[in-house]
Amino acid sequence: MDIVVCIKRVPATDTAIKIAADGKSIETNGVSFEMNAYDEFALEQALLIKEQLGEGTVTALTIGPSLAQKVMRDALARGADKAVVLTTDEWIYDGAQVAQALATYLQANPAQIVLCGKQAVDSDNNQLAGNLAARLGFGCVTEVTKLELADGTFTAERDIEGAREVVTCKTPAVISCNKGLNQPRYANLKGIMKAKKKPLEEAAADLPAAAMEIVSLELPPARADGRIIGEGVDAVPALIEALRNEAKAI
Amino acid sequence: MSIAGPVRATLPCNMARRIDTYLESLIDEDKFAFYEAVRDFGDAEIAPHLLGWEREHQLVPDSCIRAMGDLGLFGLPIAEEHGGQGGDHTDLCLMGLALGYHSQSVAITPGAAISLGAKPVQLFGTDEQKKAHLPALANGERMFVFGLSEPGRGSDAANPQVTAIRQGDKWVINGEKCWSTNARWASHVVVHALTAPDAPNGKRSTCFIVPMDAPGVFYQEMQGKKVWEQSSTGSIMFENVEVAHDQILGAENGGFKVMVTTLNGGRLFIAALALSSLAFALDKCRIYAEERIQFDEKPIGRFQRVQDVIVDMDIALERGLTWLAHSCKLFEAGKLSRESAAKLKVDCSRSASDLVSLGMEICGGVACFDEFGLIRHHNDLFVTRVGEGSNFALKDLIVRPLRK
Ligand SMILES: Cc1cc2nc3c(=O)[nH]c(=O)nc-3n(C[C@H](O)[C@H](O)[C@H](O)COP(=O)(O)OP(=O)(O)OC[C@H]3O[C@@H](n4cnc5c(N)ncnc54)[C@H](O)[C@@H]3O)c2cc1C
Repeated sequence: MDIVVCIKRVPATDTAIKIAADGKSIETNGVSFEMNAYDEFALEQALLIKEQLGEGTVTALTIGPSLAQKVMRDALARGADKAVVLTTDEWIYDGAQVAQALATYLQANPAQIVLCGKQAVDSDNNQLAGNLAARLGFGCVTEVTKLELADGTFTAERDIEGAREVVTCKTPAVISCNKGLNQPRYANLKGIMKAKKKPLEEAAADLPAAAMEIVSLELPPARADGRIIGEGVDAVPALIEALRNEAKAI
Repeated sequence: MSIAGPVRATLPCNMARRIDTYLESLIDEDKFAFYEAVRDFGDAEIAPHLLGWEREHQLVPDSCIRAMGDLGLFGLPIAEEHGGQGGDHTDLCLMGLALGYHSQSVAITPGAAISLGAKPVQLFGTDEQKKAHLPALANGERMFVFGLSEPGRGSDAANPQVTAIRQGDKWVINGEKCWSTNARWASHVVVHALTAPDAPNGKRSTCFIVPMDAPGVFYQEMQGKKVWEQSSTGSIMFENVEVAHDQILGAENGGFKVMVTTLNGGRLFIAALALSSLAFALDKCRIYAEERIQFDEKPIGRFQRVQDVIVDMDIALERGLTWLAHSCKLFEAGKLSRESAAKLKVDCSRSASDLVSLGMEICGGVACFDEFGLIRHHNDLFVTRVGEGSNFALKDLIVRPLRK
């Protein structure tokens, strides 16, 4: 069974983001990048599936600049067999563009299972899984928190508003992974050394024209200081009043 | 990663860990990738729990030891043919830097297990001893402790009061070891015992591999220690403990050589721990100095006397890391002298201790609190001055080539 994991290189979550001079992108100078956290669950699940089946390959696939090789090395160190960077220097925002470029690659290099994170923590678009599955004609389950595979059929659990949904889905399928699905492993030293010898390929991404464009980017306004309304039970009416009329929160 | 693990404080780019900037230029890409993996493990699996462990006076929990085992940390510089990760001493020190940034106690657990526990077996073990122990040591199933120090013998380690007397093809051991790091989890102790009282100094002792569950071996955790609080430190009693002759590690009456050769590498690791505390303190202090607003609504980081402390920490960190990286390479090549290893340990532990005290001073009262983190490093740095050779005693060694 060949498994592909779609991985995005995103700014590390502990860096303070600055908007670049063009007002439409972020300043990348001095920012460190890492594997999108939800994609770590996808990679771990791919490795678990391969271990369960005792055969197959896990390919880590990304679209991004050549610099994304570092994140791909990390995926190889954790256990992926092969990694591919579809290169572009553009900062892509349009989910359909990404899905089409990945679909083009996957049509030429077929896989039965495609795993991805439920969303990328930088653009939070939440588009890829459905968009890619539609283009490939695959089944699709999103935001899974439990996944089992038997006889070519997945049984997946998803947390929905106030309940847990259980669905089945035949392969080939695109599955997007949520927190709680598994506990991603860390790369160990042996894995890091082995990663050097594994194939890491680069090819230009075949990107269609973008349908969406970022018009402007703004940082959220700085949070105003808190205010003590009063103390004890007596302060409750004033608090409710402030929440209702000032903050418009209730 | 912040989704599975806790979110790190959001830092401006130039406030990212200073130590990372230096390491990135000192070591190659693979080694840096390994450092990053252990650093991320520490951020997610250790940092969030540390305060709880401290307040509950808990040793490193078994689950954490298992997780470090899964990460291969106990087998770092053990050859792949013996089930290890095939790394070197630089990797070991990188682990010390990455884990020690949060807690020296946690870092010393695999650190001592390797540099004091497995190392003498790697250096002096027979093929049978290596085969029998290294795979289980590499995956963390077994742990060896280094039984050198005794209640009555610290710096004067060449003359143990623990004795081993030969009876036919076995030996009988009596006496007490103390300060044994990792005793709580140990499967075996390497006992340094007096075997030839009348031989010249340095040739009087022999090392034996003794199972902790052998009849006559008793362990007790040393209570009341306020440094390395999550690390196990035990005292181990030996009452007529019988050991087979083939459990000698190294040569008969060559025990002191086994111990001091092992300590050379261990001292580099202790230097790494001192630098990890300095690295933490530097980041903590420089961020706090920018955030603490006093007088005219401006940060205290504008005061030059505050800057002086921060700059001195930064200088000491870059100097220490550069020296450590260089020493690890010499150690791997078998070219690091005992004096050089001692000098590095003395310098890193001393400068980190002095600077962390000053660092606490520039932060003021808040530095007294456990959750601020500096007091933990301040206390733990004491061990780096005294452990694996007290700095004052090591100067006796360092001075030798300087005198006629
Ligand atoms: C937390 C912790 C963990 C440890 N883990 C281990 C372990 O796993 N295995 C192990 O075997 N040991 C371990 N040790 C013991 C450690 O190596 C000893 O503490 C150290 O060797 C010093 O011995 P001592 O404490 O008996 O001090 P002493 O030898 O009594 O020395 C006291 C002081 O006297 C002075 N002094 C002594 N000799 C000289 C000299 N020659 N010249 C000048 N001044 C001198 C120094 O100031 C020294 O600090 C550990 C210690 C600590 C604190």
